[in-house]
Amino acid sequence: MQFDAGTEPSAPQRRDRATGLWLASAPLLLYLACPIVALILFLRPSDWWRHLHDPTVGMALALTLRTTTLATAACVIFGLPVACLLARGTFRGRELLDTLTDLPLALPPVVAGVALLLAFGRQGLIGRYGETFGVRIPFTTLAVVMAQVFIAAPFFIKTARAGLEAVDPRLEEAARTLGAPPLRLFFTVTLPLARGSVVAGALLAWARALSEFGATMMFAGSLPGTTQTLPLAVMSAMETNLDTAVALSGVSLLLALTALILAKRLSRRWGVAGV
Amino acid sequence: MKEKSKNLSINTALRLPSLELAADFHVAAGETVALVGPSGAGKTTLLRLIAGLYRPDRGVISLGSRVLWSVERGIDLPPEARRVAYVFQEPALFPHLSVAANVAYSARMAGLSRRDAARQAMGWLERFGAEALGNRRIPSLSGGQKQRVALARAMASQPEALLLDEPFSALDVNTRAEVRQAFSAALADTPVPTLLVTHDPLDARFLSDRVIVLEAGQVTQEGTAEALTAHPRGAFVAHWAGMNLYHIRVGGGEGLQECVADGALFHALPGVVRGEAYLSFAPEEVTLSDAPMSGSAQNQWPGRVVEFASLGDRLRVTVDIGVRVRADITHEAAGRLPLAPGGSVWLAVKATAIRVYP
Repeated sequence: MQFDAGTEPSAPQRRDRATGLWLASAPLLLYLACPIVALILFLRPSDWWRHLHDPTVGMALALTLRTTTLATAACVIFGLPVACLLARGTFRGRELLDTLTDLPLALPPVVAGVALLLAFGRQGLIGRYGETFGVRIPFTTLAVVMAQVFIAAPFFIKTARAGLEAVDPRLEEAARTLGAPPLRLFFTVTLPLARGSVVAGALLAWARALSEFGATMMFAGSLPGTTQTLPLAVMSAMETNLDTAVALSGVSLLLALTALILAKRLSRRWGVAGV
Repeated sequence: MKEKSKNLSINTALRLPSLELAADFHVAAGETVALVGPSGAGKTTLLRLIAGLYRPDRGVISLGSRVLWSVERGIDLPPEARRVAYVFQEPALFPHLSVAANVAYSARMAGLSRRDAARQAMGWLERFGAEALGNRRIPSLSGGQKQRVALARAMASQPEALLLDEPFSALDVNTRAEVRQAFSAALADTPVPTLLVTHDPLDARFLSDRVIVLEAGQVTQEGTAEALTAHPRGAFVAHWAGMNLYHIRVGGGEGLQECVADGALFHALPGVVRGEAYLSFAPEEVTLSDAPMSGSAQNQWPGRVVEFASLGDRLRVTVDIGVRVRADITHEAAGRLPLAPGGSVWLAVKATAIRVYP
């Protein structure tokens, strides 16, 4: 049998049920796409560009980028040891620790905000000691970062942990018998092998911090320039100017898409599953 | 390789739910000891105790004058401080590093500068005929290449003892011979004590100076591979060495000595051994035929074929004559026999081929 010149031989086609699946998936896919399309249609590009120069938008965007970057850095620096602990150790109370780090996922962010106030507020469990030294956390930019860390940390820990768990323990044993002390082993073998999950986890945490609203509202308030991040600015603008609200929403959508696409790209390149 | 030669001395015990391990032996500097035994006998566990990957319950492990582990003195050096290199069954190379970087990694950990480590790595790769692989990625290597690189990486860490855990078992027959050759050359001029876990009697014969048999966590026999083959004292060693072995009572007899096994009577040349003893002979010394053999062979029995399997150019037939006897025969000889399970054959062994020892 002869093949046409230039035709690449390809894998045999599997008989699939694609048509049926597409039909069954259509309702939810359309439902998810509808609001996004409505939002994009509402912001005519020229208007959007004009609204972007609105000082409220600029201020909110700058604050959001600053706080979410700090929050993500904190998640990575303080979250890595926790992820390692959960990935490697079998110890008493592991389940408890696991639940604790998952809790912010299930907790309404507003409740998280209340809890943060009760801990770090002026009369709070820890906050009252800060008060004596003149340190006040609530309704500051620090409070915004803290709220974001509280809500976003589980996303980093979960993803990084999955990557760390996938590192073959024999490679780590080999490195140790070759003379690598634990910390050096971590930075020369474990972390490079899990880097895809760590980076993907950081991007997911960043995306979650970008959308943080409830806890920030409770714990940090909505002060333009100090604590009013994009989601809070949207809320505030809705009361006065729908166009500004939509412009801010457009910016948020863009940032979220960027974070997710990056996370997926990187994890595909480094072979991370489940992102 | 300028360090002073040091002995590896092991006297240790570990109690596990499935195993009670107790080992007490030394490996001299430059000596290679093969550790053999059935699966689950604790061979790998023992290596991991020495490397510091497991903790023993009691005893002392020392390397030269350095104590690696001692419960009395409360010493427990972490693996990275022991200078004991471990080559695993699966090579455990770092997939994120190139071949050269894998080898340089351990040289770096031994305290060399980046430049010196890279040079050393190249030197070790050359020693194992793998210098052309330097820039390759680990997943692109064959099994044999990986194991050479793993050995080069172990040697580059400047170890004071070397542990090899079935380094050839994942390789195919041809590659195995080739890699074994490379290891043999390396071990011959390594001044460090080496412990090699292997299932393959050929490895033990080819690479080791001495064989230690570990069964159910205990050392049951030790000696050179030749000595073990000549005088197996237990089912595992007999099987490992490919010998027929029977526990017997030496009886009287004129001329030849009567040896009573549980189910058969053998005749051996007169000797000094009395009472309980072992009797062994090689499967190649057994002849099979379809009728009684003429001549003076006193060791001749009717029997039934139990099973048979091909060993390549020969055939291994197990025959039941009251005890089970394994016979290795040529395909030509097999052609004249009723070779089917249950088929009746005559089996003979020359008295001169039979060894009797306490």
